[in-house]
Amino acid sequence: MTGTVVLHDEALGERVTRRVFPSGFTVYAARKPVFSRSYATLGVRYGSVDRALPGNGALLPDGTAHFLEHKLFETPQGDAFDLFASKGASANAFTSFTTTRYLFGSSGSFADNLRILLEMAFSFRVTEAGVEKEKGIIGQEIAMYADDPDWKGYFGLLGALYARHPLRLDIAGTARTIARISADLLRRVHAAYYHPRNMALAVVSPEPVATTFRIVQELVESRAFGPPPPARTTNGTAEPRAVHRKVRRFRMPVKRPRLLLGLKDEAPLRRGTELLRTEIASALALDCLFGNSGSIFLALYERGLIDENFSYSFAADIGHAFALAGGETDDAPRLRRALEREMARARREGIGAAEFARVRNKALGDFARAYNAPESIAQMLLSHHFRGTGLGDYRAALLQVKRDELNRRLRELLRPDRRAYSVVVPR
Amino acid sequence: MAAPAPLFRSTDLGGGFRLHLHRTNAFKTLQARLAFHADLDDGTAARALLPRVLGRGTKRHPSLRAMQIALDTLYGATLSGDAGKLGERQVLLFRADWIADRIAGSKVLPQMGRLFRELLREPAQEAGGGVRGEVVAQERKLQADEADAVFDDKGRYARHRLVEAMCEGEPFARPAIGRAAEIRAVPAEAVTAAHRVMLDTAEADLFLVGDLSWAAAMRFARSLGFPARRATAPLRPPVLRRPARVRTVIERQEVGQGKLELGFRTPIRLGHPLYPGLVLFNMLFGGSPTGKLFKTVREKASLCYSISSGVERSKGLVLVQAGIEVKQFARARRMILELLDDLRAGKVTRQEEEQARAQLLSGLRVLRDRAGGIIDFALERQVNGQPADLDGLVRALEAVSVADAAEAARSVELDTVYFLRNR
Repeated sequence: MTGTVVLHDEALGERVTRRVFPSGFTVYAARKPVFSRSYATLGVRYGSVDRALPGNGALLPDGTAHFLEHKLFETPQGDAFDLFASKGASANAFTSFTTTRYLFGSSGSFADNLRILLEMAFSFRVTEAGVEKEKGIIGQEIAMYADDPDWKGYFGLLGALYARHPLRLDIAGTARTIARISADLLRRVHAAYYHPRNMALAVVSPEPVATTFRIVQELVESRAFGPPPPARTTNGTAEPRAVHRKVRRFRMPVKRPRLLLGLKDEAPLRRGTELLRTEIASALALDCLFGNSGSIFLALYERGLIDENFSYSFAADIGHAFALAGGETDDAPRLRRALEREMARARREGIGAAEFARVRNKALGDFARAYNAPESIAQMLLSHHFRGTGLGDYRAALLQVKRDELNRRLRELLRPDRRAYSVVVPR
Repeated sequence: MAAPAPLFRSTDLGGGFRLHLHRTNAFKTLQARLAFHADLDDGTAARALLPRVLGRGTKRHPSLRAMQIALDTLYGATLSGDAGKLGERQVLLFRADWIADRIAGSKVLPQMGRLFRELLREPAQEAGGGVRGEVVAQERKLQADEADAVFDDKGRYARHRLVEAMCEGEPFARPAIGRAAEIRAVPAEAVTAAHRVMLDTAEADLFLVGDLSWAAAMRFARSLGFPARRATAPLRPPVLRRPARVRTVIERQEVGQGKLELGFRTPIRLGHPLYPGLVLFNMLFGGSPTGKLFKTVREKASLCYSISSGVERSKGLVLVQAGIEVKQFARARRMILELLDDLRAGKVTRQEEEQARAQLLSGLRVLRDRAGGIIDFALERQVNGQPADLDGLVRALEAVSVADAAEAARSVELDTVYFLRNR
């Protein structure tokens, strides 16, 4: 559906204009003259879980999405970092399980920087020499993460939770898998996935929104594109409901052991407000347990089993959903036993009315706080886009969510057969 | 063109307590930072325990649970503190961040003022006075664990070891939270004593950023309650030293990637006439992805993923880090030093110069967009006895030349090379 819609948030005094172009490219633009900087982020619904080349279905080497992200910066005019820098912008990019995002922030020269971003994303001109050179650089990126105990614990846990799902694979791949990546392969992947219908742009800038729309019209809509990639499904994996392994252990040169708990959740089948509501209810329920005033966090902290860096998260998209909680500890087995006991207690007791009101209040405050920075506004817009929801849906869902839903989520998330642990211990 | 407004409106409230307000409606929140200054010395570990111990509970909210519930109820307000390091100063920084009354639709400001005051002045105490021994014991252990945990992050560890070796015997060698052994030895009485010093005599700066009038800011500052403070003894100036000879430290662990650290000294610090030259030099060297280190060592030679240089502005150090394949140690080290020589000789293309300057100026122009950005800028100048003159720095960086950067580069001398490698 093409067209322009202005989205308001009356309570916060914010407005965002969304325009869907004929190519299918969706653009969100917010004019924010209170900030001196412009920030733009371009997202592609293509991440490490997308392992097949649309068309012939060939299996891509692990790390392809991330490799493509690196090489997108190679342009006929030179390194895109240089082009941005000449206009005073700093640029970056990151690849997650489900998306690849490019971004720049700058004061002034907004139009020039937006042109650089769109040119780089849509005219991909990689060279074989450039690809070979990048293998050394990404090889060192992989080596850096291999020495990082938190990274090891994180992917170790995903490998325990999932038997087949590509979440268990490192986003950057391995030295062996990236060795198989060629310029030709990257070109085919780019043509397949970097389709405007599969991408979205979010801009927060003191410049008028019309500037953004004009540049998109000129640089994106003038191009011809092939068919868009098919919608992501459950990735063709028959992932069992139960966890793959209960525990995975790693020995590393560290002083502090780490324990990470993983909760494998039902995989959502659809995007949209239903998914949003599940995410909100899950996040609030987890906050009641593992947040700074959460019952489990406080019980473990006061007993000296964890420190203030204990953290938790929830992630969900089509085909996967999981929660994580953990951190550093003196005694991983003891912490694991305490967590098991506390989860049984929390499941029995449920969430009370005061607790519920408190975490929802906090979430409302956090939502307002997200407007403090162009970066968080723009990234939030993209996340909603890829979920198939909008900023307004978030506040509405937050106000509608019921305590019963949190308690139902709590019981589902804490099912004993869906738990796994990863442990990193000193060598 | 009208001159831009100064970053902060400031006043001295007496006894070494200063208030700084940056009024803006850009944010949905009000943000307060209260900094207490001290020298890095034998008292560092005890002082660093204060934010931890005070955060554990007040007379009115005696547990972590009670504190957190009070904050969550105020739309997830945050109130916390930690110990940081600016040059050879230890700075205890307390942070509060809460939703503005106009957004919350209720009076959060006075409640936060009250909580902040409690946190600072009214800790839960032992029956006989003084901070709770049990809480000190718990937090002492956690803080010592934090010191130990540096070992686990190999990038941070390499930087820590470089500084320890390079600045041995200087206050700068001490971590902001103290060393693990020092922390484990701090008695509860030392924390109580450090608390008194913090409240009564330590130099302090309160920064407020948000939609707040000057009168309201004054009320907030006074409500924290610093009635009769005594002026403090001046803090020590930083140690400036020229390297006598280059030291090389090689350490072996069971790691895959090598971590290379190069430590350089320069007499140029904040306030030095060549400071803008040093800033331009660092940008050209390794301060961004367009710098020589990134372009040559990463992009041309494909030797690393991560490489950068940074300036310790309050101390006069330039520190370089790179994550490399172990066998490339000598090659990477040589390349980095050759690139420094190029800068000393002023070998900089027009494109490099333009990119570096554009990024520096853009970075300064957007500083006002982040409360943390302007507070850090002002606090660092305060520590160095310099005015928080952002526009002055913008003008200086517009005018600074490659010749100035080359002169700054010639003042930068290699002191210590540290390499963490496999066994």
